[in-house]
Amino acid sequence: MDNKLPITRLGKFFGQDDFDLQLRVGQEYLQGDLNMKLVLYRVDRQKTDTDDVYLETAGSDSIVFFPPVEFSGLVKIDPPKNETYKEGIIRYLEPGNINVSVYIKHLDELKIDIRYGDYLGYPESETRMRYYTVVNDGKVVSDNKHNMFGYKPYYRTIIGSFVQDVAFRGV
Amino acid sequence: MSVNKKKKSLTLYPSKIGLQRREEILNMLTQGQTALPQNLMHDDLDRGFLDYIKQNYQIVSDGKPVPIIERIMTIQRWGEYTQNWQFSDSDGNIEIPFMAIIRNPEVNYGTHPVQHYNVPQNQSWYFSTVQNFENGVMGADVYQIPQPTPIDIKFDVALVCTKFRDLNALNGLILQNLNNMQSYQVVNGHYIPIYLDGVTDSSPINTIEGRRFYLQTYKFTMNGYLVDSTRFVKTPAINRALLFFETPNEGSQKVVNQVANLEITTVTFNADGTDKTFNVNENIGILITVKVNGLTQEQNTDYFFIGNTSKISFSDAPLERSIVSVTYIKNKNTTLIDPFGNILLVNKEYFVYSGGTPNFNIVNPIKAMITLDVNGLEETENIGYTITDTTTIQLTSPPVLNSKVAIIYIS
Repeated sequence: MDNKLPITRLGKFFGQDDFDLQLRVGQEYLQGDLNMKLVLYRVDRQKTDTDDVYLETAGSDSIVFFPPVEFSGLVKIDPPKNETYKEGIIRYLEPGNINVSVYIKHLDELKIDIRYGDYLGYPESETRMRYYTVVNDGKVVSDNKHNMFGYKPYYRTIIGSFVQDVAFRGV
Repeated sequence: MSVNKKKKSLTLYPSKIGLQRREEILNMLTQGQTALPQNLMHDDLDRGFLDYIKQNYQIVSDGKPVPIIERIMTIQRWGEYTQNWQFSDSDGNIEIPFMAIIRNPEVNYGTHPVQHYNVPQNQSWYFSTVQNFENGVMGADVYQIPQPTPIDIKFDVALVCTKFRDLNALNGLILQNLNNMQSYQVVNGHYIPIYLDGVTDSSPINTIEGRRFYLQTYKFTMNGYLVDSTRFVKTPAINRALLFFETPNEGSQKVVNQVANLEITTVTFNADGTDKTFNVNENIGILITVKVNGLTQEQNTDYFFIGNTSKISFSDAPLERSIVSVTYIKNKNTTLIDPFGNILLVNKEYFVYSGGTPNFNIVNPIKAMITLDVNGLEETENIGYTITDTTTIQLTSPPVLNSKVAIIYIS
């Protein structure tokens, strides 16, 4: 069992009760007012059958997923990329990266973890779902930005890169 | 002057047959020996290189073997090895030290000197001849394969560590193993040469405020080649075939048998319904029998023959498709002498069965039986009759009364 070290810094101004209050207020704002929902598709790395040289699957449909989970997060999507594969030929236009800020407590309540390589689904409109693969799972939250007044971390920033339907189209 | 040695026979067929041959084939297959080379493609070569590194360059740091990521890293993010690897820390990062193998994605045409010159058109070449046994017929197949395509695959083997001794250990292993400039790895039964192109150092040792570690990369080139089993060709070589021919009823057939050192000739004709005369094309010295469909014909009644001629003439033409056989001894006269100088006689004796034991006493001591027929139907010796002594012949079963028994024998 891991040792637990009580956080006592900022004790004269800020404590666990204040931390929890701020979280509740934030969660109410995020989940109650904004209500931004995403779907997390976690890859079952144990059951997915891969080859022993490249660790690749035979096809995108042969990846095994855990049941999808809906979660809330603050979503920010970068501008679309209008680029070419090679110097002026074969243009492509696709969504920019998705940046999702999600409360650590929210993930703990859902008993899920977002890991590098998992997939995110975000409904762009009523008829269009965009999928992203996690390229930064934001597990390292040691910086000030992710700490509440320097007390302790309270959210993670997940960055996802757009994937085409041929690579992933939901389950 | 030496005589050229020529192989007088080809051993196409195995020396063992039956159960022993089946066991031999089973052993050949189960021991991984096939008549063709094993498939060798990019993934086989990659796997071979991973094995080569793992088998030859395992170093020990702090009393523990330095982990080698024995996978080729690809862009499929979720599959990145760190997620499941036992040597990851709580943030999912690989713990130092470790070794990783990176394959350059691009694979160029091979530079192996012996593979520079090729016959165009990608034709297949003879590889082996293999016996087969299909549909009960023994034969052989020729296996052909295309010329293997040479390829160069470049690998980077990176060691990330924090100890100079770890660098020394790996460097010593690699340079000693490659002190003759090349090393070999057996991949699917093929000997694949591997060369060391050089070593580079990317250690951020000048970083004052950042993380510090050693990173050295050994660059290898694998001179591989592609053997694609889907392009193998199997063609039948030699087969022992059973061929049947149906010949029309034309012409004649001639069979010569040896009886008592005498050549007795039988010529068989296929009657067309119109011919009355049948020519054996040689002088008939002694005419023994003339049969139509196995029934002995009577001379001067059914047919006519003039001595020392070659023709048999029927009073009425035999029916169409009838088989006419003429048995005779080719000779210029009726006196026969065997190769030992003995005078032989061909005897023809006729009897009429009048009841009782069907014994027939012939005049001269028999040396060899030519034919015996009852009412024109030939009997087989030891089935239809037996020779009880040199002058007595007994039928196995009594014929009907007044049957005509003809015995022709040599004395």
